[in-house]
Amino acid sequence: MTPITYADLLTQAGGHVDRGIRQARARGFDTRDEARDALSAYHGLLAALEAHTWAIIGPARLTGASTGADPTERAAAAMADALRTATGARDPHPSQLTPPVHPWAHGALVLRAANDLLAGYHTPLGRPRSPDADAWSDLESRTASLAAVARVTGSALDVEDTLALRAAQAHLSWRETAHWLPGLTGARSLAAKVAASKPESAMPSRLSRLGLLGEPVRTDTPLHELTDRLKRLRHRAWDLQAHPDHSTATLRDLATLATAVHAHAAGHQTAPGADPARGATALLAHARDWQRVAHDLADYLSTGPPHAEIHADTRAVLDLLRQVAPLDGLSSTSGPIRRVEEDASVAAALRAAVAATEQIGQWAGHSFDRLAAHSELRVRATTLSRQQVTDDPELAAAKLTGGIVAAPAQCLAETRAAYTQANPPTAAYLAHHPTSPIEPSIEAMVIGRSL
Amino acid sequence: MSITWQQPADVLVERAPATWHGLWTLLYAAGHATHTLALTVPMIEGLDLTLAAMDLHQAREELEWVHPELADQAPAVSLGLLPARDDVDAARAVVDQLVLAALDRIADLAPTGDLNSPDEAALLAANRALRSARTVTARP
Repeated sequence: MTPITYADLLTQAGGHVDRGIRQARARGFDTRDEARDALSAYHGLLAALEAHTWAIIGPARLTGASTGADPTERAAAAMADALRTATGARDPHPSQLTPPVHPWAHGALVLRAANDLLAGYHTPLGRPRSPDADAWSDLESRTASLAAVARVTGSALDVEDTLALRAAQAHLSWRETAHWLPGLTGARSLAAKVAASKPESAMPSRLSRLGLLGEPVRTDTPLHELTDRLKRLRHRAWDLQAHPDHSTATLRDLATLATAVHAHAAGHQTAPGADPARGATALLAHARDWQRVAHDLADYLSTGPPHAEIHADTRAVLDLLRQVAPLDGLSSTSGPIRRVEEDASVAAALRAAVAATEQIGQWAGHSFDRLAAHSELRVRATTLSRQQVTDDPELAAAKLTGGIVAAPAQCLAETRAAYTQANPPTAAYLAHHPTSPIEPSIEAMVIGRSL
Repeated sequence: MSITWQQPADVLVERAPATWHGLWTLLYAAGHATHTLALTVPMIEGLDLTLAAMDLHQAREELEWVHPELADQAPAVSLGLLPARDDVDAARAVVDQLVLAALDRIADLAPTGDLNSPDEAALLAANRALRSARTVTARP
């Protein structure tokens, strides 16, 4: 099973909406009750589209990423207001209180699940819960998502006249029909305006790649498990910024992880017995750099055990890397030829792993800086080099007599330099947001409702 | 032959007492030597040695977390850089010799009875980490 993404849910919702439209155009209602059920589901859908528009705009405004001045966002907000005027302000919408039967009710349910998925990325006060929450700060991405919602909204609004005719054919009074379908021409033109602001693109936006936070690790294949554990490690390494665990053992785990990911990626790019290609050579150099970071970190005292989950996930990833991308390529002797199709998915997973590791490395470097800034890094005086103590008589004395001392500035500078050498900011780090699944989604589980 | 590592390693194995301090010293020397070796050999071997070093550092820290004074009081002895003339396989054997000695010290230190106190839990955790490291250091 592939993890669900926001784009999957929106696609699925669009499918339900289209099915409802085809149904309305294909045949009339047999009874008045059937007509009322369909109209109620239609209202529920419009209410869900309104709520969904705010699920995209709301966090951006809450975090200050949007000032509300963007014309597309203003039009989308006006569209949402127009929908709310038509469907009423009752919350939860009455259609949410009955099990979904009509395709539009299913569409509304999926849209509300998408709201839940997006809502997980921020606290109610607008604090990010994931490194990917910064997708909201990307205006292009927000515009693309608002345009996608507007296209679904536009399709739904286009069927209003057909519905009115079908309601009349089912002998609903014009008065009742007008209650359900008050005339949504204004909302329709706003939806068209928003949809036109960003044409559909084959390139998924950052928001569209967001997945459900906290999904369990898939263990059906080693490749899935590797992908999911790395995703979780990335999230936890990011979380260390806000919730530091003060353990250099955790930083050492992350440096070892980076060493392994780069080494296995290099091995996978190299045919056994052959010289590494240029890309593989660069990866190997990074692996070496991370080895040096891990070596350097071993000299600092760790005040406590490593972060338990990071430690466990690191261990598991190291085992999985051995399984999915053995280091055969780095061997001087030739080995078995890998299957091409297997190779492509492993290569994709390793590319994502390297990119995720680059981000993890950046965050680990920041954690090291923070520990250093708060004088939380300590070393054994006897293990300091002559150069590290030469300018400080107290340190020089401690080197002779022993004892635990605050890590001297030169020692910290050397480790900082090792971090910088291992992880210079790269285009991959700046551009990659490894939340997209490796395979296209084939099924979706709709599990929740948002109010 | 790994002459420069062999000699100090022999001294450590022979003289490190079967105490927490002695065990800590052996683990410190083994962890640093393994990391040094990992940086010296080709990555195909170096990666496993890096992971073994991770285990050895963890084993040492398991002791420090229950007896923080160890890091201050126990002698921190390093085998130093691996001289160019040293044979890598022999150097790996030297590291394994230190790991085995540390395992022996743990066996001596751990009581034959109840293993539920923090001290014993630390020794058990160190034992687990060392056995994991040995899967690499004991390779021919």
